[in-house]
Amino acid sequence: MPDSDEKLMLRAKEGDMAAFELLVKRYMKKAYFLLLGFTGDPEGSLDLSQEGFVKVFKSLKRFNPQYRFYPWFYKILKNLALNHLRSRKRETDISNPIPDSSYNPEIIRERNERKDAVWKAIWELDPGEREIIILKHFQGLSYKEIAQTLDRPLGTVMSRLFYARKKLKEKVERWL
Amino acid sequence: MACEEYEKLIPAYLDGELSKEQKGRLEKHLSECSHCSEELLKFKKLKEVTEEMKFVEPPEEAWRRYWTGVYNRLERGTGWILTSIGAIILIFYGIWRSLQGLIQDPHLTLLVKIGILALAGGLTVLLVSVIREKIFTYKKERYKEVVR
Ligand SMILES: [Zn+2]
Repeated sequence: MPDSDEKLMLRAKEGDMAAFELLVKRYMKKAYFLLLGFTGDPEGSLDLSQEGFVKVFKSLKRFNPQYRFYPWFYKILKNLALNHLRSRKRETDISNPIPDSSYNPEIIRERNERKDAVWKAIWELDPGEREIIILKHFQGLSYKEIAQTLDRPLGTVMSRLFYARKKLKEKVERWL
Repeated sequence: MACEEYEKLIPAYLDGELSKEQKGRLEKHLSECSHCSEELLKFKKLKEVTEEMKFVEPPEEAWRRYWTGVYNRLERGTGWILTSIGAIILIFYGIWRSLQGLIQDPHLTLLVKIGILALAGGLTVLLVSVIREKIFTYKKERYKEVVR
């Protein structure tokens, strides 16, 4: 059986670079796709996700092995995404009058009209609703894992997902 | 329980996240209620659509070089710190040597001397930081050109 994330973190904390490399390789795609879902920016997400691992490395000393790795890593990535969106918004304010350039239909594979409509509808959800849709559908987490990641009770996850999907269903009704 | 309450269970039912007891109750209701059965179909369709949506993957090359990229960043961080410390010491030493006469002048008070040294130290740190930023943005610009 492969080592758990937490075990790899402990080994990395003790200076084992190979363990850290394993962890990076285990999570690089997940980190990239999460940032892509939040920012809509493929080039920036590759960069940001690597920055995320650098932050993990720098705070190895503070990692408490009683906690799970992914929820902790998730907070780091989410902060990076929010800062990225904020700084890009400032950039566009100056040089470009278009208010939100982060909606990007080209990040969806094998595009068609229906997928474009659904991705646009996901993008137009409230940030909290979009977050939970991304965690469920694009990160493939279970309800329990989402609850751990967001540090919310299971019931809250279930009802948030229900309302997000209900809203989504109404927005894309004609495509269903 | 009203239809509204059952409706809330439907997405979790489709995700296989209901308890046995909830599942039993919902299934019984669905067999008797055409409204909720229709909702079930719509939620099912939505789930199918979202499930076939995937993000575009970056080129395979990006994954192959990924770890090296992270490693280089870690190294570069240390590299920059050492370079900065080295540059600050050397530049400060240069300024100190050229001001040595002034600093050793017995007519100046200690406070003025401390002021001169603080000014020199501050300027050195600022200078190094500006140079570092310039190099960094220059590299970034070049990188952008290569990618596009
Ligand atoms: Zn009903």
